[in-house]
Amino acid sequence: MLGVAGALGALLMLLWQWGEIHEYGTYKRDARTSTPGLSALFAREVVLLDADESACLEPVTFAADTGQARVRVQVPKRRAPRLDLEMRAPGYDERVTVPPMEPRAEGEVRVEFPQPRREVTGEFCFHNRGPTPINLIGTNEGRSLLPVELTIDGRPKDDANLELQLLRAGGHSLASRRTEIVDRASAFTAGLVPAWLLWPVALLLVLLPLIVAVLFGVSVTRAEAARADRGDGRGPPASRPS
Amino acid sequence: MNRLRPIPGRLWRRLRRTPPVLAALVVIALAHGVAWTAITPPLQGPDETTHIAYVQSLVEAGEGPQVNGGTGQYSRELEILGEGLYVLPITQHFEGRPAWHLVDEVEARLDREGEAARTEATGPNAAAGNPPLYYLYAAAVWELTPDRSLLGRLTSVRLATVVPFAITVILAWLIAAELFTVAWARPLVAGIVALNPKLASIAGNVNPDAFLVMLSSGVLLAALRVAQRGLSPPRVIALVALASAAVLTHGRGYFLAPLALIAVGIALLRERPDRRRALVFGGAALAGILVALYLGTSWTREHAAGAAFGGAAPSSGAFDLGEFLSYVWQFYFPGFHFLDESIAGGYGYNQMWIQNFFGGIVNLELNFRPEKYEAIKLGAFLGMMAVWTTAAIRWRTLRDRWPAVVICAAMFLGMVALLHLVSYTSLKNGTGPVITGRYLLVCIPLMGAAIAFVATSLPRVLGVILGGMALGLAALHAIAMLGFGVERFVA
Repeated sequence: MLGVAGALGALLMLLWQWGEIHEYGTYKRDARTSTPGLSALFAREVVLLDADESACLEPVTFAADTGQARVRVQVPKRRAPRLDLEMRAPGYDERVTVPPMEPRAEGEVRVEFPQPRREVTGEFCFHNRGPTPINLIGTNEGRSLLPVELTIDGRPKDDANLELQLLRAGGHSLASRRTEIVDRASAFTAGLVPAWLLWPVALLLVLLPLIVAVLFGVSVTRAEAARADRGDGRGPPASRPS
Repeated sequence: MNRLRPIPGRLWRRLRRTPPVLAALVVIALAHGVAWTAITPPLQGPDETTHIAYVQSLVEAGEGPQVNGGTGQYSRELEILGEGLYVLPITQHFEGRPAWHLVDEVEARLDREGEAARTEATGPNAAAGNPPLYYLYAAAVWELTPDRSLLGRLTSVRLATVVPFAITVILAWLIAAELFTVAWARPLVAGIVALNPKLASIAGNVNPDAFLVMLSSGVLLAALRVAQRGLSPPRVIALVALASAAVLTHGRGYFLAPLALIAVGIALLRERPDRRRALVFGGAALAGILVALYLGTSWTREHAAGAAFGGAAPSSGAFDLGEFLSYVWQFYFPGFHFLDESIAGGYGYNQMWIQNFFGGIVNLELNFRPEKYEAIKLGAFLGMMAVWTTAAIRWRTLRDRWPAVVICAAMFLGMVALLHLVSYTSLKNGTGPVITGRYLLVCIPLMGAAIAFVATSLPRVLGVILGGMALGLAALHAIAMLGFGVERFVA
């Protein structure tokens, strides 16, 4: 009975937090496929894009299921320009017009577009269709720059990058992405931690509260049985001076 | 089974006697460490690039790196890996993800660069003042692993660092056996260690901390045995060897040297042997420890001019006892009007013992929400009160077991004193507090023992339920941090 009490003590914590754990695993959140441009931690880069000018990032990889892009822009004038986002790669060419932006404001722009359905590498461009200019926000701090080249109307701009995140369209729970997560976790291990090994590891860790409850319950039961066998209700001193 | 016969008979019998629950906890620890190895992108562990550069310096140049000078901070191949896979730039960028899709491209580039890209890593390296023991272990794995690619070597060293973590779980079990007569205290203490996400994550990276935690746990076990069971050549040799190894692993292991001597001193005091036996044991222990300290400080002096405490802090800087005591007081408690403002600024107990011990995993990036830390702080306070109250109620038992009490208290206070001394010295030199939650991991078996002390002191049913609750919370802590790690790096 004492073992059951120990196991129940452990399970009590699981029951207490079950709601949060379940919500964490099933909450639909962003699913990033790649992040070719990081935000600024300390030093922002503001690239002014006049009407009819383009800014491009290359190389940018579009995963097969990429269907959403996020960029950061600032509208400096009273009237917002029309901004197109273009995704180009061999066999993949999509253009999306950004919904109307608030004038004299800065914010994150999110657009959805058709998936390439296979992984392709190409470029991601911002095209200002006018009539007013727009500021594209990025960073120029060395520690945050990725090996992605920024060009403004074909002219390279060194030591600067623009914020760009590519995601799957919609929200996705961690639980629904388990295969992708395991594959990604295995990707940098040179095959030494293969996906097939991570599956039982993940299962063991997900079941950890249950396993711990059983182990502790068994331990207590055994300890009590040994104690009863000795009959004195006390264990021998574990250590004593020799 | 017959294939395992070549294992020496005694070892084989001992392995077969391993309690199944301990074996299960070791498997859990291995899985926990391997999970962090996989989740944490390469070079993303705390200061991992500097530790890898240290290993590469040993392997490629045949010598440890220098804090000042040298041929380069990192090898060219580490730069290619870090930038090519985006893993260095995304640090502290919570929106950033590594470039999983570029692995083949980066590996092909590394192949093209060849062996020439592996050199130039002899410094300047901030970790160069660390004594070399862990790095020699890592260098052996780096050289011997059959996978010669950079990712293969790096993963091999990470996996090899998980092994000390698993050994720490076994040592925690044995420490509990030394401290408690109640058998279920063993899985409780070992489970607290196996489920600790901070230790598991650091064990999944290239970092000497997990190795140091294993050695400090070994020193604690050996010290308890010497102090409680008495002097014998194997016990004293084990104690001195482990304490020396800890000193040669990290500056934060220096406090284990006096701990070993205290254990021998307690044994001498209890046994009161004849002068010759006292001189042999006491002298041998002292000599062994002094040799290790000499080797450790010599290494640091040679590789990190102007550093002390195994490279953990600068050696220069005026020491003001009053200022030091004021800093330590204000680290834990509000200051008085007659005290000057602490040189630590706002950094104190809450940051180190709560936020950066229970959270702040992988470059301080994985954290709970602030209200969770408030709950943890309250829990920690109640826990301390429980330990204090239990100690007060059971003071006779503690008095009877004074050697164990002295060892545990000396270990804890020694760690805290060294950390604050190093932190104060660093602050005086303007290099920041240099004190964070993972530095407390060397006392993780003691934390488990404190929980077990309270649980085993309660009426049996209540104690068992409390023990189960502690393990259940530890399991949830492990899962929560793994979830945060998955969300941050691979989702």
